[in-house]
Amino acid sequence: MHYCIETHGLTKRYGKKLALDDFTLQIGRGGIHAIVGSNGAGKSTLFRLLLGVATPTSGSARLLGVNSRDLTPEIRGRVGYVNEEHTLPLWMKAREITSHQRSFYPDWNSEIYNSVIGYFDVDQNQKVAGLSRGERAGLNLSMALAQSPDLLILDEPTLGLDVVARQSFLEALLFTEGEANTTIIYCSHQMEEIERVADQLIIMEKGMLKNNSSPDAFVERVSYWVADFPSALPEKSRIPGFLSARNIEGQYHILVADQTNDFGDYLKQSGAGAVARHPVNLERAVNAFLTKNHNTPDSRA
Amino acid sequence: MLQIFKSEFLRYRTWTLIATLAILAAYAFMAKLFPFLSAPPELTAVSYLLLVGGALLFGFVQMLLHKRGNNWTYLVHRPLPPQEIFHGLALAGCVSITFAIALPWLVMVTGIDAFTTTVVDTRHYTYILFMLFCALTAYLVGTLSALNPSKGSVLLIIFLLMLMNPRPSNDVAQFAPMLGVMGILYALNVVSFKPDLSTHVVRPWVIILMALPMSYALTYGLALSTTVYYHAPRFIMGTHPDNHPVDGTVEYLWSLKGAERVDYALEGSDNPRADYYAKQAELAEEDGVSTSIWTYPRPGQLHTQDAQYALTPTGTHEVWQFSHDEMLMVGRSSVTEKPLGVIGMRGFLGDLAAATDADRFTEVPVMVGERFLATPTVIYQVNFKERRLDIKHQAPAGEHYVNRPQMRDNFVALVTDKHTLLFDPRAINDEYETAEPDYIIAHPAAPRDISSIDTYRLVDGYLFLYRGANLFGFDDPGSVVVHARLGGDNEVINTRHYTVQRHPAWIRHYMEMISPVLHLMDNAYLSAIEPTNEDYTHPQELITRQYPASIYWASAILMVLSALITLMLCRRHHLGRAQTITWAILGGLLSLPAVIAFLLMNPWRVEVRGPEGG
Repeated sequence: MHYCIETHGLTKRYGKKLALDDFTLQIGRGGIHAIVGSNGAGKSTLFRLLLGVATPTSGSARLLGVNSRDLTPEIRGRVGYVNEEHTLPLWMKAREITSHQRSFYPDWNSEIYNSVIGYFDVDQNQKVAGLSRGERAGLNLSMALAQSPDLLILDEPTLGLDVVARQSFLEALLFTEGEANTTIIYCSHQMEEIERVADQLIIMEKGMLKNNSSPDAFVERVSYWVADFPSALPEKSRIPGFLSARNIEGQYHILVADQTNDFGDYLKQSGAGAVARHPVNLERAVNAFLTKNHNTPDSRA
Repeated sequence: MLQIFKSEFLRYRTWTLIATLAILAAYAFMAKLFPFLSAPPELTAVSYLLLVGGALLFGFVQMLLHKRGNNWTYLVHRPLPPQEIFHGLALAGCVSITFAIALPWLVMVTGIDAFTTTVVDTRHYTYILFMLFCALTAYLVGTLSALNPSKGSVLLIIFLLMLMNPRPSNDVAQFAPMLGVMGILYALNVVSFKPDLSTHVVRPWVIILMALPMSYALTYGLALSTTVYYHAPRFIMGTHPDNHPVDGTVEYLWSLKGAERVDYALEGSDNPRADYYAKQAELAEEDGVSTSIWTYPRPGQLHTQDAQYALTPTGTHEVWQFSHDEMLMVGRSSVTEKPLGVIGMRGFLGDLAAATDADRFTEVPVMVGERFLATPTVIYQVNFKERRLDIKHQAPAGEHYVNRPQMRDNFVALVTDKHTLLFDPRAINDEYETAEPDYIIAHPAAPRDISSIDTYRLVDGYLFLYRGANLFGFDDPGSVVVHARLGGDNEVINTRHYTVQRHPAWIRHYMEMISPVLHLMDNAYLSAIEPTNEDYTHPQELITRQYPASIYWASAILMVLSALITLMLCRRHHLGRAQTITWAILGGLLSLPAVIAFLLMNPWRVEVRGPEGG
């Protein structure tokens, strides 16, 4: 099977810093794949390696079946990329950039372009420097989608956008998913966006892959417990699948991964009085996952 | 590619326009201060610095702006080969530079040509090419410095020293190396422009093309480094020959004044009249004659290399310029701008149309003072009042002047390749007579080996004190005292060899020691470009020179060591066989500079990479 994205033991080191650590991932064709991770998790490094603008220290990365270090113009033409800065030539007018970009892509789809740009209020005679961040994001997305890419990589595209612009962006994205057969890699910190658009959730932490499943399946992995502990909570290293714990008004709110209902028994055996399991949403589950190894004052009561 | 070019050119369109107008305004201002085509050398030097510095900075900044993380991905991640993207960017940069450099100059020169009677030659137009090529060379070094991960890319600016410093003997020698260098730099840029800019170049031909000029530049850096571990410590200890002259060396003469020099040069003389001459020198007026070899102008040379702009006789408004296109002196009135005729080899002519081939100079004369024209074999005197051109002096058969006439208070000196000729200034200034020298003194050595001549005017002639570090052969310093008597009788009073050297051999022949091959190549190139400049040694002569044995040993050891060190470094960096062989050969041939070039052209931190990562 040909994957859109395929990495094997991908490692990237910048001096002493390990940005990606033996990272292995396969992403099949179709759907929207969300990548989340805290700052410094290695998401941007992964994209840089995939697009061939950086060289791995070891391991390999393949994009549409081709080694990222040998990407041909033809392959690059099939992969769209939108970064968080919405980099565009500031000195050109929207109309000029569109025409400029169109010249590179023989499969340019004006219909998609017009449909997507319709979500944004972009004056075509305005220079990019004069466009708002939301308008630039819209212009960038419109052009990226009009290229009819097989794969579209969006690196935090809604960063810094206001609610209206973000709404337009997501609607445009969902419209495209329905219209075009494009695999979308969507990197974001906004959980509500991911909850809304993602078919698959990939979680990265400290350069390592922590999850690659559907959002529902991921939420299934995380369970949320509230327990009364007359004495202190056991050492967190001894709590199986421990993610986070907070002491609120004498009750411990504990999030754990990959635990069954037997975990309630474990809490009771550890001295808990009343124990109750509650449902957990995606944002809380992801946050617990991402903050697991981050020291916080209340991570252990 | 054209789309990239259009986009990039749009980016710099306004800046290009501003630069073009600013340069044009500066030119217009300069034209108010002095004849535009005769800028003072200092101003030319400053304009070259601005030209080269500006182009270098522009190239560097242009690529640096693209290099920033997301900008770079936006630029290279498109369905175009990287080379085409670079072609587009470079074309835009070159066009911008061409506009800013060529257009103002063209406007000025065309304007002067069309609206004044000032001599404007083809060379004034082709000067655009010179400026443009220099600027483009600097621009390409700038782009390369931004694109190539090598820490020494900027050292390739040394190319400009090789292009701008010599006075090439013809137009091919002027422009062909420039085109070659631009071709090399462009190729290096194309190879360096790749999606991942952090990877170093590995192709052997690229390594050679980068390492060679880089090593050449590094030889100068290494030569300068002697200040740190030789000159400065000796200065601090007070033992440096500059502040503590070494008795017994020919350079000791520098620290002496007037007659003391003669006294020193006569030390140990068995001439019974040595004391007499030493005492005579104390009473004598001292002066000097330069033996520096001077490259005479050539047809079509850059106008910035002209020694003098025009002959402008005092009390008139006449301006006589030499036209390289016509090979005639062309006159005009600086007030009315009316033509005043021309001066050919056979004298004055009423107008340009009357000139025949026989009138045209066969060599470009250099203007001296207000009324002399000098070619390598003839000194002409122009009598503007009587509209006459006379031969003032002709070099003896088989000889040529090595530099321009030297006007002194008591004499006028002409130095040929074999003799020094001293004239009475009155004879030179006489408007009618051919000048005959009062003294003809044969050189004791070739002019290039004479560092200077001190003259002492005696009652019955002159004492000539010749000195030089190579006066009696390579690395064989000496001085010669000659008594030139009025009437032509010359007597060598004393010849002194100096066995003590001012600096140790490894300092005197530092360049040869650290990289004999680069020293040879440097001199081979320069002597081919400017054969008349005897500062550049022909390779044949270099090879036949006898250096001290320590220099041969030191250079051989350094070459072997350099080859071994580069070999070890290649293994440590896990370079392929082709790269290892290339570097080992470069290390062996170019010696120490190649080792430093290796360090600059490879990452300092060695990473261990997997099979697909490396």
